[in-house]
Amino acid sequence: MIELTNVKMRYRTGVNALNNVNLKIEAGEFVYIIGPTGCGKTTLIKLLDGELIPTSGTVKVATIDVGNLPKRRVPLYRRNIGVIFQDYRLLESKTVFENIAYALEVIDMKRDKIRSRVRHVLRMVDLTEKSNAFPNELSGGQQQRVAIARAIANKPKVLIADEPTGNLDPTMGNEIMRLLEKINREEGTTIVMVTHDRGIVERYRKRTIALEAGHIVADSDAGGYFSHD
Amino acid sequence: MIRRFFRHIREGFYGVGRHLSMAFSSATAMTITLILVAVFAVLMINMNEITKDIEQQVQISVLIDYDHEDAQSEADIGAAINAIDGVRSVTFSSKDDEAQYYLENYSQADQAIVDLIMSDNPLHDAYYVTLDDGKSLEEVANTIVNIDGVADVNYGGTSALEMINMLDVVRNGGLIIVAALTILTMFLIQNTIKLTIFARQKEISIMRNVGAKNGYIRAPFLVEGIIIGVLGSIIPIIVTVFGYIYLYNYTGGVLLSSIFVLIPPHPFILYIGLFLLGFAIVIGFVGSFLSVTKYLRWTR
Repeated sequence: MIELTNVKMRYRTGVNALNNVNLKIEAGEFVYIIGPTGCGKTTLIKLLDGELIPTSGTVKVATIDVGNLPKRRVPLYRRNIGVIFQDYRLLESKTVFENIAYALEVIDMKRDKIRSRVRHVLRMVDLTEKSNAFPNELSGGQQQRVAIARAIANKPKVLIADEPTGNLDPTMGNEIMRLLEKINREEGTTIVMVTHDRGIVERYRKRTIALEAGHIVADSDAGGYFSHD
Repeated sequence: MIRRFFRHIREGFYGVGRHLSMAFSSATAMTITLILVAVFAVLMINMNEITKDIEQQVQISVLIDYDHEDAQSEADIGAAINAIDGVRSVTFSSKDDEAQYYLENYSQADQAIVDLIMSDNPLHDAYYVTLDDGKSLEEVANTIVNIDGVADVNYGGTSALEMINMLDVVRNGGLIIVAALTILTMFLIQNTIKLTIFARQKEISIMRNVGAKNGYIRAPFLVEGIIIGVLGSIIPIIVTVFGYIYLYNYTGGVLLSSIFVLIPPHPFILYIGLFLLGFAIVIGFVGSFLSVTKYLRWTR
């Protein structure tokens, strides 16, 4: 599903964010990307969602060569991947329902289809009763669930999660993790999750890729990365 | 398509509502400059009309030599004048017509002059020449004076030319000011919308994340620009329409002297109102377009 071959990313400032990264993630996998600040995690995510073009090498997502995608095709590509962030990134002036519906309006889905799809994902993230609430009326965990609902509304093949539990307490963090596992299991969505949270990585054991100074320094299976410590 | 169109319109209105202070400052900038544009536009158009009137009124009087007052010579002179580039009309006036005109218009004239004219008319047969463009006055007059049989030409000399040149300067100056104000308004709007966009980067990045194309992101901002344009044009339109009607009624449609006749308000001022509305819409649209496009260009 995701394949990075000899990917090098060097910014104009001269910083080498990624060096010769080779990575393969199969469809339906749930993978953690971990590493210290500045190790290249965010660059990796930006490469995956088409925001950055690699200096060299290829980034393929669902057979699409993302790095060589013409600018005008990038939005169409993004409709096949969902992205969630640590700061939720919800539209404050829109209700929960409208926030989720927005992602479907963009792709010109018919209104009745939007309605049924939004209801479905709201049930999935267990927020049906908050449908008419505004983001500032929700807890952090609930806001992240709305962001997840929006990210999966369009049934993406890949879900990229950038520190989705970073702003949440452990209870809410666990809630989000269970939800992501459910999406991975029930929808078959490939999930790439960047995290700093050692506790999460230990509790919900998945394949874990460790980055350091732009290099992959470890790629462990679901047996657990930190069990080597 | 229609669904999307109405969605953009709705989002544009929501955008103005949500960022009221930004919209207000843009609309205020628009209002101030539009009032200036309106003043200069009204001035310029009136000046244009006045210049046109004066240019049309300016004529060259061509006096025919006494020894060329036979019908054939006069016809030849008339044809020669008509053949000159820029001549619109040539009207003949016999010395008797001239005398009649003199006596009708100068009734207070000295009895001795009246007697002289009545006994032995010393005036010339003449042609009155009007031109397509007042600026060619001197050139045409110089050509006519060289025609065989022409005794003299009279066109008001340098004072007529200076008048035409002065009106031209005022008209062109007004045009430059309107053009400068147009650019200024556009920059003001562009700048304010740029600030709006800066404040809404998060919103735009969310739109990008969910796969919105540039056109989809841009559309509500363009609608906002148009709304700001319409809002910003309300006061200038009211001020211009009522101000001009008041000025016209107050002055009786005449400024300083009967040369400076104002254009009647109806339908002129309605056209100006429509022009201001259209102008504001275009400026709002273009201002938004430039700032959003600039922002969208450097983000992938």
